Amino acid sequence: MSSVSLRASVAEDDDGQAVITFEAVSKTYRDGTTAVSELDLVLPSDQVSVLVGPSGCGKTTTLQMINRMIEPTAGSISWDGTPLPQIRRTTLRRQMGYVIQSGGLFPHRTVLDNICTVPTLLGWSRARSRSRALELLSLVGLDRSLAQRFPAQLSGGQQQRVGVARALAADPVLLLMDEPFSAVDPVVRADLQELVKGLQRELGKTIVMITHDIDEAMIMGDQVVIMRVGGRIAQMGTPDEILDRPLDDFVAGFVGRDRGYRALTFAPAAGLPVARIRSVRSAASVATGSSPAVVVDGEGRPLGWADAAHGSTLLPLGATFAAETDTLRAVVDAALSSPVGLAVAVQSSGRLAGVVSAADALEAVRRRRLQVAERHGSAVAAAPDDGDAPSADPATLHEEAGPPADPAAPRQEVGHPPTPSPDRRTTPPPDGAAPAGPADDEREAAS
Amino acid sequence: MDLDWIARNLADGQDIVGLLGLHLVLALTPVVAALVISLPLGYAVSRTRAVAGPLLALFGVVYSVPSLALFVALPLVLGTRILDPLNIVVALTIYTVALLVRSVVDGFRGVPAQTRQAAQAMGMGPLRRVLTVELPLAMPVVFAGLRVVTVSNIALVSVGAVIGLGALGELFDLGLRQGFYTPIVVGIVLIVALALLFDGLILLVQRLCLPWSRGAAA
Repeated sequence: MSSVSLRASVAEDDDGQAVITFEAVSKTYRDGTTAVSELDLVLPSDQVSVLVGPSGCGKTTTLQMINRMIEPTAGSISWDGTPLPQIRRTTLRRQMGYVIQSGGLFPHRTVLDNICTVPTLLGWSRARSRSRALELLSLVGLDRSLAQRFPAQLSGGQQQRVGVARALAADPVLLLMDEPFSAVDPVVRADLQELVKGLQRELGKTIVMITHDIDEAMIMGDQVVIMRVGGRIAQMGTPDEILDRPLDDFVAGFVGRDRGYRALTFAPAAGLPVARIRSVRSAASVATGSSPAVVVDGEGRPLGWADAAHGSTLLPLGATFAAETDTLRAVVDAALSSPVGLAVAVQSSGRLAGVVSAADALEAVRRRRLQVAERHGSAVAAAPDDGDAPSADPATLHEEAGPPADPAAPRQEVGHPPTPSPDRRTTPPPDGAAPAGPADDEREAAS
Repeated sequence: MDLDWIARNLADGQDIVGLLGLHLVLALTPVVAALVISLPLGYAVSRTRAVAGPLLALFGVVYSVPSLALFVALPLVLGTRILDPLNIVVALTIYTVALLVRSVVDGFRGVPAQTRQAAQAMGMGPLRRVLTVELPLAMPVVFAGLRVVTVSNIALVSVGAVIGLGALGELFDLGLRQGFYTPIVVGIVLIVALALLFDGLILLVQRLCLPWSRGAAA
């Protein structure tokens, strides 16, 4: 009965109202360990919330309290206003998709029957369950010919896709994901992350996910909740808030030394000044004394660099980035990996689009950081260097890979403590030494 | 070898065929009975933590009771006549349970915690979870145990010959008493053939019932 009212209220919920609310929730196990203590948490609807933290931080306990696999010892959890204990366990769980590491598939059931699990429990007709299952197979990017296979006959990535399809079978509003991608290799993991993000955008599910991988949390989460041992929240916020302004040493340490670099994942590359560059068909055709040129193939796709100093040797191209779609992170990476300090931009067709100098890329990074700092609205105020930004607008192309020291100066003036630096090696790091690190790396890369 | 003896025996429709049938009944009834008893018993034991070890040790002790002693003692306990085939069936059932419970426990314990958790998280009730997820996943190990106990039972029935109820084992008794080896050879060949046949049959049933576990837990 309660489940009926629950469904109704969930269906009406499209105004961003909280779906799952934890109020002062604690869980102490019989042996005395406190997994979660005094947890107050709101997991908003239609968003991906990622709980992340070291092992023993209570993230799994927290997740499993949502579908009552574990009951709290104190406090209350409600789903859209209805306290969880008022909903029958099986009823509750059938309305929450659950994805587990390695898919947690039933080895003795075919792919199709695995996907049909919850529809069958809900009493759907066989025909309806089957057609729904086949539809889901396509949705998660699997061929229908796999329907009659057993899980052991699938690759790890395919199993995980079936796991996602199974969780979505009865069209639950909420999806719980327990370290769903930790058992697959990085390439497959990236595909699966993309799949789930795509599905979330398409289907508008509320997803609560746990992971110990901070990168995954940053990629997947609209909201990231960092937990510390003992089940307390260390910090919660959007990924770039956390990367930009870790609240304390624990968070700073947890998000790692590359966090400044990772934060660039959230900045688009579009809008960067892409300069023209001379392209040649063969390294030998670069005249003495002229600036470096990109060697391209017959289709205009970049192959490498040619530089008079190196004669007819084809220098490695380094990483490239897609001018329209990539992030600032890709641009910086491309610049750092280029033998001449120029990030090569390509069009979607793979043809050479132009280049961005390392200096311009770092300038973009600097402006991006200012933007973020202002958006987070702390006492950044009108930093005196604001005016510099337009003037620093890169009209010219620096051809040398020398470290641009200037972006460091204005940053020091901004001076709000938790702004991250791309090169933080220690925690908590001294603020302000920002671009020196990448510049160092760049020198190494260039030599 | 006296092939004539075999031909005469078969023509009479007597001894060998009848003993073969009796042998099967005496050997296989306990297997079926023990399976029915062992599955719930084994599941219960697998759910206990501290008690499981001692319980399994107890079943090991039961198996070590000499079969002959049990054959002789059971009529006293059951109040059956000494030549009642029930004695043999009950005795072998006890042995079979003692062996099979361990397989069932191992089978249930081998169910991956993740799979059990997934079943729970999908919203399966406890009974459904045990019957439709845990039991099928325990079956490959149970089948392996089943093959062992079946072969073992087919051999063990012959010991009953000592109390005059050994089915094919009586051929050994006959041969020994008369110093006539043909019945002994016939008995051995048939017992070995039965054992191989049923071992193969169970394997076939397993392949058909558990197509997903091919090659596993053989």
